[in-house]
Amino acid sequence: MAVQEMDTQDPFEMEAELVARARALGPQFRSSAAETEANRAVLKSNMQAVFDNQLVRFFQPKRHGGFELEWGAQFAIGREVAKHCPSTAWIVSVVGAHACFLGRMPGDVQDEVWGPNQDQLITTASVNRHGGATREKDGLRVSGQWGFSSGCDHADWAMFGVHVDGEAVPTQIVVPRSDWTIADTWHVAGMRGTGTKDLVLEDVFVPVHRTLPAGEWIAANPPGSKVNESYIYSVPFLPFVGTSLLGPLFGAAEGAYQDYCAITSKRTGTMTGEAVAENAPVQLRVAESAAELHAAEVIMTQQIAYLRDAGRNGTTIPATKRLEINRDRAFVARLCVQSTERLVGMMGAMGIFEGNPVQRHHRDVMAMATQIGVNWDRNMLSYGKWALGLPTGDAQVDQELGRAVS
Amino acid sequence: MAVVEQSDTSVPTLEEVLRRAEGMLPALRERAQEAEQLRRLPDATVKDLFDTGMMRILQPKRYGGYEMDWAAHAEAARVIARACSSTAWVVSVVGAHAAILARMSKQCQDDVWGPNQDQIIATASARKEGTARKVDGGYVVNGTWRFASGVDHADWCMVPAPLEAKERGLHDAPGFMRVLMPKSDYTIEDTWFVSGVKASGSKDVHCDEVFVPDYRVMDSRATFAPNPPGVEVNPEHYLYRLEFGPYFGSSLLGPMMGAAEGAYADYREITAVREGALFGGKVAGLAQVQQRLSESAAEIKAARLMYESNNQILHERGVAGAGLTAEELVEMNRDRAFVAKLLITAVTRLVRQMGAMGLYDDNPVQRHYRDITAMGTQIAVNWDRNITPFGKHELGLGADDVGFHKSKKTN
Repeated sequence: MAVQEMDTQDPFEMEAELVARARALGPQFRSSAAETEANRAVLKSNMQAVFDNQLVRFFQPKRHGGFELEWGAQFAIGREVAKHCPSTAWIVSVVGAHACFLGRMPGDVQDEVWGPNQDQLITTASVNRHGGATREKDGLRVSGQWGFSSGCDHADWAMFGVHVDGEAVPTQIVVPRSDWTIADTWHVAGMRGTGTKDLVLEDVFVPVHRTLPAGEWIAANPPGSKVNESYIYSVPFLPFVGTSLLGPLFGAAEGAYQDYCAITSKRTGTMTGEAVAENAPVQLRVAESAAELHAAEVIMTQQIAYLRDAGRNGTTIPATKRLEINRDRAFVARLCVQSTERLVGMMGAMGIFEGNPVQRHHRDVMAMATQIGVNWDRNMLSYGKWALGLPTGDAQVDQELGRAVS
Repeated sequence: MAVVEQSDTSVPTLEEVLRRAEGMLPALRERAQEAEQLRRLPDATVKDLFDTGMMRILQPKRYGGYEMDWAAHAEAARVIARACSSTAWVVSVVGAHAAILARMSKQCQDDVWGPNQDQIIATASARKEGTARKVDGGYVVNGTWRFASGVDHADWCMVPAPLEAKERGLHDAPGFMRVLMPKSDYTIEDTWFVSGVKASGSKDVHCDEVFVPDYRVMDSRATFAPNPPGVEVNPEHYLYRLEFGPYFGSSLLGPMMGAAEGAYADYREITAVREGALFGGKVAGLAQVQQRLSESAAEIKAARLMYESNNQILHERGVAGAGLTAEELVEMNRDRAFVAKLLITAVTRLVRQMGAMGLYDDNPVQRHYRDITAMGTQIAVNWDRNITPFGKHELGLGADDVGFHKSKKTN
């Protein structure tokens, strides 16, 4: 199947078009969701459909065939896919958004990655298990193992955060497929289809143009902003990055809700034969979960609009707002978890069967909610400390607020 | 406080209304305990409400009112409730009665606003017992009705009276007449001994063989239905023209929203400097205190966004001249109950973290907590009543009667 071309240049129309394409692929993702789980990686056929429909070009630079869409595009597309298959949505939204990670790196390495082939899934391995790098003339020498490389089975390139001997600040490196091997460690309870395995580097030389100190990469105006125009390549990155996870998370909860209603409106009790929908507690649970999801949606809609406007206008996001953004992300995640748990807990034994999509969505929601960006205690404590006039423990925030730990 | 000059043409902007509301807050905080002891609003507060035009937000322009949009009404109450829920209740719930009167005949409106444009119009919408009996030229009204908020300061009161004693239902149920009476027609029975919103003064009114002329007795449903009698003289604003139930039922949200915001702000201010009563040490340093504060902050923000969205839907549908569909109504009722639940949960979590301090009458958090819990008992935000119809609807069963519609979703 050939790549579908876009017939509009308006970023919001393009986003809507990608959401429509994701919706059209929904039945395919849904019917293969169980197989995707068993495969513990997105199926090749589905990955091909993602590329053919340009679903991971939303943050790819225009000079490399991408769309440079507005912040929040990944949320809308990921949400749509996740109603059917949260694992595939993770690959599209979270891993797809890595295109702007690479778009902030030096122009030369971007040419190396996208020059030969514009259909790229760029994986990252962000957690160091062991090992590190030593500095050599013209580059780094790297050995070790890094965790959580979602979609690595479909990637030609990977980004790592590595510690270099004698250096305080880690360095971001970009490494081609021929230089790393996959360690299959992804045996998990949820989000199985993301194939989030470990990557191993053995005595690999990384030339200097494929490296960048992490501080520069995250700060305003990294090298990539010289070659790519959109604000997504130039904003101070930290308040932004957390958005990508919420599309799959929210969409999975929404999918669970929709599947629950579709199943329950027709279901009769296995033991009693009664129409389950007639039970008042069932009706009550549906409505409470619906209201929670609505609350999550209004919070995310507002947060995305805020980030997008801040990016477009070049507004600095103050520390207090960053704390609020993190707090609200954790809160949204909790709403999604509660909403889904309430429903799956009201399906009787049906709720534990593997063929039940609500059950799969539930495991996926729980798995996604373990991510640090939406961790409840961490994000809630920081905000609470700020509100009570204490240092938050986040050095950057405390410095900005003049609340140094004494 | 300075008297704001009023004339028939001086309609303030939303910002100006909110500025005036903000201006009242220090005095309202000062009087909050006195108001609770009085179990009605202090006279000085009622004077402030008239002077600032707070009771005119939904009053028709032809009677010196502002005829403002729904959000102005809700927002004024939200701001005021940060200091005093009872005052906000009178502004929001009782203030909305101006729109009910505006939907009644010209003669009724002339009777009330003709002599004096500063009016608190009470309603006692729950019937203990009572009827309206048809006689030549009018009705004879007997009975006792409950929850007449602000009645001590009202010149007029409305009650729902059925023609037959056996009728049951809400104030706009079939068979009920809306009766408008001057204060000489009824007596106030002081039954308002309560745990929260004490100063709303929501007492009983009692009528004994009172003759009310025909024009002040009308089909109650017709006053809430689209194109009520008042549309002849107040044709412009959507609040006087469209089905009123969705608006009136939303009048609780401003006071509840503001009470939670007030509780949060007061809690934060107190807790930031509080030391443990028994063991000393900064309470703010406790991780559980920090976490509870954040959780309540997030809940209050979620509620605020949903509240704003509710205001916006009501306004947009109003401007478009369209009522809400059955589907939108069940969803709105669900969300209102959910907002109330979020706010009550948020405030309860805070007050429980204040130790014995949380018990003292002079602790404003404790008052906000009692107020929001009391407001949460209102039928329009009742959890079970409002949440179940949405579930039924979503599962393909007919929802219960919502407004004037029946809903049935086909799956």
